[in-house]
Amino acid sequence: MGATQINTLGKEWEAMAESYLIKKGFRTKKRNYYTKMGEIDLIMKDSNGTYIFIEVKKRKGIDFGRPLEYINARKMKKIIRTAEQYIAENRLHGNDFRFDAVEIIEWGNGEIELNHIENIYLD
Amino acid sequence: MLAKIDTCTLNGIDGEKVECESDISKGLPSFSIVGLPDAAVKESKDRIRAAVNNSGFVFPVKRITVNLSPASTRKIGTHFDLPIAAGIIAASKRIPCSKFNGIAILGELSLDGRVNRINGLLPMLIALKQLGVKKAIVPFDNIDEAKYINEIKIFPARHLTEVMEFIENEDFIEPMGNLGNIDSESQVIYDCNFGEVYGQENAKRAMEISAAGNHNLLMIGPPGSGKTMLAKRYPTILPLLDELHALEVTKIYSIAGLMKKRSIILERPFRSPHHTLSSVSLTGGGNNPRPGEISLANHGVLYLDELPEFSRKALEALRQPLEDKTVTITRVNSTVTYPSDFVLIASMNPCPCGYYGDSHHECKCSMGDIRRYMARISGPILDRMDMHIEVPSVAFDEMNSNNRNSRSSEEIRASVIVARDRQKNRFSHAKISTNSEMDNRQIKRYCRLNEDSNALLKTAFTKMGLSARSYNKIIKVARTISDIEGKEKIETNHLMEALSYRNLETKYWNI
Repeated sequence: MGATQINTLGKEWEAMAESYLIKKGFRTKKRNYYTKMGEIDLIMKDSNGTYIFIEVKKRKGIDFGRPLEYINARKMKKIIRTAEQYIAENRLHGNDFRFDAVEIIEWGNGEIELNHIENIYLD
Repeated sequence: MLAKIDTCTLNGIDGEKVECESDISKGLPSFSIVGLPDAAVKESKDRIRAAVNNSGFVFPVKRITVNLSPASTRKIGTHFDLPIAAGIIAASKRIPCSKFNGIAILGELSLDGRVNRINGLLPMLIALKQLGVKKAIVPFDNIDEAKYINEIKIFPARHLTEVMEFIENEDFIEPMGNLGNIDSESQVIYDCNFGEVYGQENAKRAMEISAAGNHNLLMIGPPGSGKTMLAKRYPTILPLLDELHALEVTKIYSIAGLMKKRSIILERPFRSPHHTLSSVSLTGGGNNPRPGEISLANHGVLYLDELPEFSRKALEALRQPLEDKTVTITRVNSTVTYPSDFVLIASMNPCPCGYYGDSHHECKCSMGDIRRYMARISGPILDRMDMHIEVPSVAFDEMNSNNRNSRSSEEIRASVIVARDRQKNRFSHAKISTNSEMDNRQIKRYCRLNEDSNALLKTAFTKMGLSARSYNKIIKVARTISDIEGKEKIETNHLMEALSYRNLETKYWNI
């Protein structure tokens, strides 16, 4: 499996998460924001004007743990660093921010489960 | 938005006011507590977040900074939970700071928002009282301790929601009524009495003297002769604590978390730690210093059973607190001073087998064994014991005699109280209340000896090889004996009795 293929695979699920959140009333600001220290899958804004940084995690089944369990302290740190750069680049200081996660589980019978978890960042 | 709430922290046994400032601002969500919090305070973050969410409030997804000022003193304890949580809720709901003016908040939170009891409430309230705080919210489970603080209106809180309602509407929590003064507290009942001890009249007399003048007492005797039995009854002949001392003792017990729903400790503490204790648990210490056994025995009795079994380090650590009546514990983080004004009662066997000098058993120890055993009690510790007595084994007749003339605890206590009152009157201008506390100048002033006594003391000094300290201690004990006898002057027979409590050194240590 080549690198491009992984990218396209990921994109598919990120698009699914995005359309789910748009239905919830979020507006997309940026997809796949890349920096040196990490990547944020989706950056959106809700109706209150809060910027939301979203990590999308997908797994086939839960034999190796739920997708959310793969967001550990190291990953969180990367996301925060990247978010800080996005805020600086776009001069967004003085806004409210939040970190969310979307977990997608593809069950063995082909069923897809999607969960949106708000405010995953606790320190 | 900013909220400011008054709370308190402890340094040693004294409280210090702390201002808990909570600021909520826009930015990446974070929650930090600054102002030198220790581990327990940092942990409160998780409790506060859960408690706020579970009490029907929303924990703000914003940048939260909590400052505990003055930021230079270390904050220890779990009682910051409630003021921090209240501050965060107030700041996020934009409740004006003026609502919190003059109210101090203390309390630990459980995850469901209930307010849990805290340690050290009494000393903190005393400090807040002195700083002029007029109202305080305290945990409902702790209100017994707040009973005697009349100058502060106490609002007992059970839940975080109650506290927030109270801030909006002060009638929400009923203030605790004034619960009267300490003297009305009922008598302390002991489940043992000196009347149950048959024989050992000498030891009982020595205990009476020791209790009357706060003199340290060492009992030497074979196993089973009743040393422990006597010591257990020692507190029953001590007068109750007066208000000032009761508060001081209660403060220490409150800090140590030993109050157990009591409002005040009126009986004198009796601590009998096991001989395996470490020197640190004896004197107090730890990274965040806690009071040790000698401070828990403040204004009461520290009883060390089987004295030679205690570690050398622990025993030698007693030297300075025995003289100074305070102990200063210095650690990297902090230096605290705890009071340690206690009477030391100790008991021991005269040799490893226990029967050296006993009339009924043969001692199986070699002289070397005995010397080594006795050498575990160092000279300086022995020197600090005002009275040494022998507690011989009891004869069968004495034990089973129908002679119920044995003095009861009540009788002995009455005479102890009379003798203590005499001392208090005598020292009304000095800062002391018992004979054992006299310094050299006071000894000169209050303990004039007649010529016979002086001559006697001179002979004793040279013959017994007394130290200057033990010389003074003998005079102090003689002073107490004359107080018990109701005499103004120290008479020769008082001095002779006092000397008789010093003659065991030659018998057991110089063999």
